Amino acid sequence: MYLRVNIKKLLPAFTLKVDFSLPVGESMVLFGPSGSGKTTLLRILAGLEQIDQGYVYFGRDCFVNTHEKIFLPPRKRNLALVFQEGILFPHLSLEKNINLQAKDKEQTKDLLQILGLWSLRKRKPAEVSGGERQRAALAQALARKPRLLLLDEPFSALDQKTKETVINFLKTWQEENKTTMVVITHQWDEAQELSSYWLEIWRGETKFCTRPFPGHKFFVPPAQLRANV
Amino acid sequence: MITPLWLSFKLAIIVTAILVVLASPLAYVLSFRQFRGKPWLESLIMLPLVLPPTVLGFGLLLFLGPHGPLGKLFWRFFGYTPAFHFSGLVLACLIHGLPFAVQPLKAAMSKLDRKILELAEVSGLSPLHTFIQIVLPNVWPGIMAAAIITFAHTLGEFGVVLMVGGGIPGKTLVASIAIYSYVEALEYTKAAWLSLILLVLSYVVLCTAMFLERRQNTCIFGST
Repeated sequence: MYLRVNIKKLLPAFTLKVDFSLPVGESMVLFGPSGSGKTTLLRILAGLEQIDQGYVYFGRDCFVNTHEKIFLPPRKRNLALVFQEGILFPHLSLEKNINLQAKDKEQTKDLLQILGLWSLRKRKPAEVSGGERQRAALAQALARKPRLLLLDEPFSALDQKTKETVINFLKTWQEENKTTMVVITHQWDEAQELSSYWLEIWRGETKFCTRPFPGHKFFVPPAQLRANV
Repeated sequence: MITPLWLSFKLAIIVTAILVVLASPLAYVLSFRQFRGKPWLESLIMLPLVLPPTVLGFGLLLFLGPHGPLGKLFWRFFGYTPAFHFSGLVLACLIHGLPFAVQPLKAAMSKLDRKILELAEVSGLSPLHTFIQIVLPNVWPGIMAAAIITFAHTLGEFGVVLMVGGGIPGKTLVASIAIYSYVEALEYTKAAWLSLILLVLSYVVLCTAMFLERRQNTCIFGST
């Protein structure tokens, strides 16, 4: 079972062409310079952007296939997306934000405590810092227990110590829940910590990367993976 | 002098309540959904803004009268036609007031951060839940502003109400038409008092709308 992506989308500056397969339950890091199409790719996976040509499959589920004119709305994809800005519903407290679509409401308390938000749980998003908002947005996404978790620079507003705690928790959580995760980051240390699979995007073109240190998996070329689907 | 004022208030309250309920989902659809025929629908809703009230009133008079389609329907079910009846005033004010309710709601919704709606979408919320749980709580000052402007507009409605209602004392003679009647009868004192009451009320209502609009800006822009 794979997350299979083969898409083309015309952007104002270039054409985004992405072709990869990722085993379900694994995590992948997307990196590349600003404006290279990383966020657009994440939004395509989420269903927030349309594609011009191609397909996205998650396991047996078709998210989008232009040839067969299939488009599954984002709300039916059972995924979660954490925006870079840590977007939350502004009229709800952090706790209510996390509880809104939580699968297990009991887990909200644990998430608030682990991510250091317990004392802030009654505050609204406008009343906390950017880093606290990012953590709350992550907690909101995790509470839904999605099968696909998409994170757009989720640690950019966190200090080093908090970042380490959050990354460690996220890794454990991902392994326990076998959630497929795609993360955008500019930080090498974050990328090394988070994932076995890396995908570099440069002006819309993908380049497959191997991890630069021993003991780690290599990115499997999509053609080989597709043969196994 | 009291009866026309009471009729005006009764009309304004009923029309405001109905219009807010109708205009909120309509403004949501017009703000965030793309569909074929949207410019046609928007133009139709906004038409009363540019149409002379007498033209709209005349059209409605024919539509609601004994030979009009809605008039016939009313006659069959209720035994009367809405023309020259209070129900006719309500229907006419609903149509004439719709753009006044939709515009402030659309303005409030356009200030809403689109990413909040995208978050709702990827969080698995249905469009109905998004509207009720996310959009309405974030635009409530806009809803209040729409209600207040609609109320004030209905209170001062003249042309359409005169054409459809005819200004029958105790039935369709609202305050704005009463002022006109007093002036025609050279009863300037009565006309002045009624005008003064409407002037003060309209000013208070508009001030409230302005305060609510400021609050809407604080709510939305203060949160990001």
